[in-house]
Amino acid sequence: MEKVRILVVDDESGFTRLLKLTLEKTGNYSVLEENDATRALEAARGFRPHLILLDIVMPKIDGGGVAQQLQADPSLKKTPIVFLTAIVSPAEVTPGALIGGFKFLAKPVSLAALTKCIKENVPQARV
Amino acid sequence: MISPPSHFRVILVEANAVDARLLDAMVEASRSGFKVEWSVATLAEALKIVESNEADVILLDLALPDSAGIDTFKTVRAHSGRLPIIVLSSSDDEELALFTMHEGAQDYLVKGQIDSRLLLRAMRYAVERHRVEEALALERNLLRNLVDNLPDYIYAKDADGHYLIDNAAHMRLLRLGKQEDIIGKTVFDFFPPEIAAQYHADDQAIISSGNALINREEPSLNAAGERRWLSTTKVPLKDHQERPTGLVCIGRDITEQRLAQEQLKEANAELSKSQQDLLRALGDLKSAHEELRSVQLQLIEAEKMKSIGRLAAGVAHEVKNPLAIITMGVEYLLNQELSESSAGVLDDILAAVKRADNVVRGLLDFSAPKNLEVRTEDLNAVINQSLNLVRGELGPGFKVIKELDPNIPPLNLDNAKVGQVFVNVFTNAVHAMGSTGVLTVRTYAKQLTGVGENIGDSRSESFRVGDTVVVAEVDDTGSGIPNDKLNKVYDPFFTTKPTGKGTGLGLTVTKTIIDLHAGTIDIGNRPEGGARVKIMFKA
Repeated sequence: MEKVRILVVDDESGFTRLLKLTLEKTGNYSVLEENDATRALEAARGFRPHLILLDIVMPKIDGGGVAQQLQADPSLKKTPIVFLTAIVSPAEVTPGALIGGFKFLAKPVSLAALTKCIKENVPQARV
Repeated sequence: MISPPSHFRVILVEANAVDARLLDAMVEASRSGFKVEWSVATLAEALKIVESNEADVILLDLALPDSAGIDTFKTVRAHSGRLPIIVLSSSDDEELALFTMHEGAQDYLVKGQIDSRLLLRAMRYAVERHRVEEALALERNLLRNLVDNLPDYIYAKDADGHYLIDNAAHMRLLRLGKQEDIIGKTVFDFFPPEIAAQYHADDQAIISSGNALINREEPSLNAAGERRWLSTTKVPLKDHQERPTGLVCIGRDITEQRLAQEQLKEANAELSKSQQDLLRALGDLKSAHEELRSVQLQLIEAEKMKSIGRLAAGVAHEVKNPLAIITMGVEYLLNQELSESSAGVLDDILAAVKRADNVVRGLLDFSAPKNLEVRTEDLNAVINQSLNLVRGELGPGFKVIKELDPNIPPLNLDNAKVGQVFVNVFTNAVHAMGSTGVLTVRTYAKQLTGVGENIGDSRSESFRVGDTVVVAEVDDTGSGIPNDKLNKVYDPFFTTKPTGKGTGLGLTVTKTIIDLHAGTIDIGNRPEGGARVKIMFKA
């Protein structure tokens, strides 16, 4: 069975590494880390992820800017983006919360919450 | 005693020249210091010398060519002032001579019966008596002047109340002109009967008791019938055998003084009233100042909150990222083959991370700007919903009493946030009570009638007298809050709970939410024990 591809864009390499290890350990996911936000578009074009996890506060370009770039690309337009961030207030991150058309997940996130979110947004992952 | 001068000048008025010479010779022969300085035969000549006022005594024959009898005496008397006059009469006219004595002659001598010793004695007595009379008159005048010139009322009365002496001031008071108008009369001649009777009784009491009355202040009437105040001193008069003979009175009009005293009293009263007003104003000022201070404290608190908010956002971000890494790491490790104890350690780590995350969430919750989702809600329903949420915390030892007034008006509020408020308040109450206790929840509506009836009212910009408010009170039977901690309960990270049981942010968040609803929250201790939280919303 084809693994669900997750692109995680976050300048915290420690976090992305552990996220990759944890998700891939389940056997269901293939995760690509990108710690340089300016290269996120390039990575996405090459990796063709089912879902993109996007940090907001990053050097050079923030998550919002990256999201604009991704959505401007016709091949990535339909790829769901979930902001995984430390700045949102918990009140705004009730499960499934939608802010400005985007999904949000608050750091720190449990594996259960993460996989639940992926399953909600990637039909393939529900199998 | 006045010592007599060594030389006395005599006017001799004698129509009979032989008699004149004889008398002159008698005076001369007496060697007594008397000397006939002027010897005249007519009234006209006599008057001229009398008016020069240089003589000491007159020897006056009444039968003169230009005047006769008593007229001679009267004319000379009128011109001579108090110069002593010795009348020389003929033997057949002694009656007339006696009459002149009544009119003021010092003595009379009958011509033909005069010898030099008799003449000398008459002249000496006349001059001496004249001197004594002068001295007495001087003294009397002095006393009279003294008495008349004093502004005080002075009079003396006999034992029956007849005026004996009355001074000018008292006569002016009674509007009397002459001594004769009052001497011999009594108070009944001058005052209305009742007042006169009172005065008379007072006088009699002093006379019969022999006790003086000193400076008694009493009302009186003047001749115009005006009420005056007098300060009166009355002293009984006694004869040498200590028998009462009357009294002497000195009175002073103190009406102006009394008036001034009364005005002073009024002024004092006014002053004391002004002082009270001043004190009241000062009190008002003080409480206004207190209020200002409290507002200032709130402002400082708000400012504090704002900076904490900024800090919180930064801290949250910096803390949440490492927490995210730890969480992810633990999740990864949990999916490895692990011993049971290792898995336990990892669970503990996850729980600790969750606690740290809760603190950060709480910080953000109260500091981040909020938008309320306001809807018309029934506060009772919100409270019931919150009670359901804390049901798990309520052990078998707890009793919940609900006194929810079903008639309270609906409120515009954010259901979820106000629900959170009550969850926080209930949780605090339960924690304060331990394992047993009674939680009482009460709601009611009321109209604010005065600022003073609830201290929350005056602190709030949103409440006015006449506003209807909905009040929710939550009473517990727990330990209460130490008085010195009462003003700290809203401070972030303030908690009385043991470590791990509370973040210290519950009431901070609660207060923020109530403030957003323009409501008030008051936390205090109940006299019966336990705490009471009183929350008010404007209806």
